Amino acid sequence: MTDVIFLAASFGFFIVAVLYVYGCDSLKGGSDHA
Amino acid sequence: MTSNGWLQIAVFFVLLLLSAKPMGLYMARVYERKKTWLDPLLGPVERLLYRLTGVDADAEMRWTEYGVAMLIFSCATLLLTYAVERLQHAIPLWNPQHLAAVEPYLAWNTAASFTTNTNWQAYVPEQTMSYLTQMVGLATHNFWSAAVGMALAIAFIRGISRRESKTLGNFWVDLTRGTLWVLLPICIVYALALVSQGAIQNFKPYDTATVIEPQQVTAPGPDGKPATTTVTTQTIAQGPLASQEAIKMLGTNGGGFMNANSAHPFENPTPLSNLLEMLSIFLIPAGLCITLGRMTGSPGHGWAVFAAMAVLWFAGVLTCYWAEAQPNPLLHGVNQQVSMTSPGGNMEGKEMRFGIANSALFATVTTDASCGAVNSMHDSFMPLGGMVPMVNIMMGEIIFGGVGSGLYGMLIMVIVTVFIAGLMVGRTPEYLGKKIQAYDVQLSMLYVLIFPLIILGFTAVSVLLPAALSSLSNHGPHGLSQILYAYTSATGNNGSAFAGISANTHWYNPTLGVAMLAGRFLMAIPMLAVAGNLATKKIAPPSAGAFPVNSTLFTVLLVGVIVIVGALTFFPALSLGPILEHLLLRVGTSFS
Repeated sequence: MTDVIFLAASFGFFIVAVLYVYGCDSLKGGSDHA
Repeated sequence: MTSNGWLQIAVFFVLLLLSAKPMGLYMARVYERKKTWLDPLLGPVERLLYRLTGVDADAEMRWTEYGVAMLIFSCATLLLTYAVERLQHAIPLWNPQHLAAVEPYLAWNTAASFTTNTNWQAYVPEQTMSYLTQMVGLATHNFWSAAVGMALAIAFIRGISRRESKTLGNFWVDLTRGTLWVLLPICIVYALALVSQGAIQNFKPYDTATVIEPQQVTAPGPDGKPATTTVTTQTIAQGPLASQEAIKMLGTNGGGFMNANSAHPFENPTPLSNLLEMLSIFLIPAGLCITLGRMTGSPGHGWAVFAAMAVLWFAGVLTCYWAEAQPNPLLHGVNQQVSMTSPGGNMEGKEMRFGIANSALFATVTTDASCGAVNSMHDSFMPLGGMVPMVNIMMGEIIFGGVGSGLYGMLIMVIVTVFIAGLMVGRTPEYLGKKIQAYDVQLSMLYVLIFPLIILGFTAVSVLLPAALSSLSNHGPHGLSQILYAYTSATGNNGSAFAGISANTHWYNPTLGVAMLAGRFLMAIPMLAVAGNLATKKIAPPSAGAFPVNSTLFTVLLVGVIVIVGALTFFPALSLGPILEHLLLRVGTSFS
């Protein structure tokens, strides 16, 4: 059971990290005033 | 401090200076896919790997694709390591000591640790990991995590150097070329050099030696009461050390085959091996500064970044050496002066073979870079001497830093510096002809702020939890330092410790694991976003209003920004830990 929790936590972290990639990408646009 | 000690530190720096340029120029050729003398040997291997894995070596990736590929690779290798650790007892291969499966909390912490290039070790390796786990689960990660860091740095350099491009290269190609052309060839030669010095490389079961003088040892027995036994034999661990030692240092990994790490004579047998180990920690990070200069067409900028790193390194080694060379004021009546038979100063936790100077230098180098290997025990340093490794990591592991991660961390600080310089003169900041705009600064500040948030957040929670406090070997300010160092080391992906803390617990294993993953990936992603954005920009021709990033003024400003950011963020925590401990020690107060 503990193994399953750690496997799920690992997948969970990397899924959040992938979402974070696209979150950072979506921040771009409209905020630069050079 | 002695002239002999300073001479050795000077020799180290001169050798680093001499090796950085050829290393950097070679890496530039490797990542620009230009011809090298290893191509006839490694070219067919590279092409075979791409054919087997279906990689199109000419396909370019946007920063998001590059980042996701890096995350998928890291997730897969983390799970592989976890599986190997959990199943090592069931695999009838290279486990002559019949070691049991690693328990889940520790296995996950270790998998996260090696995936992130941290190599924090909450276990005694020679009593916990089979030879198979050490090689397949851990040593392979030493190559992969280092190659990932280098790939990310190269992606950032391309972001600076490319003009109106949507892509940063191909992650799989950068990963492969960094491993095949840089890490593997050096490690083969390096491992043989270590063997020549006395490092071992075998698959034998552990040896047993009869001790010359039997020892009486008192320890808690099965019933919990003290029991005295007579020890007549000693187990001497064996294993494939030299091969792991080479990549442990070159890849700034730091995870030892033995618990004593580079203080163990099988890992670091001689003063020459000690010099090689310190040099190899800085070799790639220093070389990458030159790679930066070459690939951006601005060699002066590469050297300016190198100079900033060198200044911060020297400040650290000066402080650490001075602090450790001081006599301990609590050891009344003990001669702690330099003599023919004693290096003087604080020798607790240090190897007589290396003395004060080489212990202070090693501690500084290993924490400037995100290595974390140790040849002396940082927990036994004087308060200010121990603060140096901690502050080095708190600067963000950018003083040469981890392989790749050091350079991209430093380049984020360069962007912050250029931004501040732009504010001072009231112009849009430019970095090597690229305008630095709001998105770049926002993402750079996200990178800068995540780091202290993780460290100070976890430390603050830990000092409130009895379960976390029960792991400490000292109370008072030194106890705080042990916790602060642990989360600083984990988040900075360093891996060294104030080892008085017993971190193999159900609190520290998962939280330190999260700190390591967050410190690696949640910082690398905004960095890649900045790189991807920089790549899309035009390169403006140099103008009188642009801040030159190859000048002494730039180096001074960069150092100032790094010190101020680090000092402002962490000074309150440091003042309650090592600084308070130092002041109390001067008036004779210590904490057990």
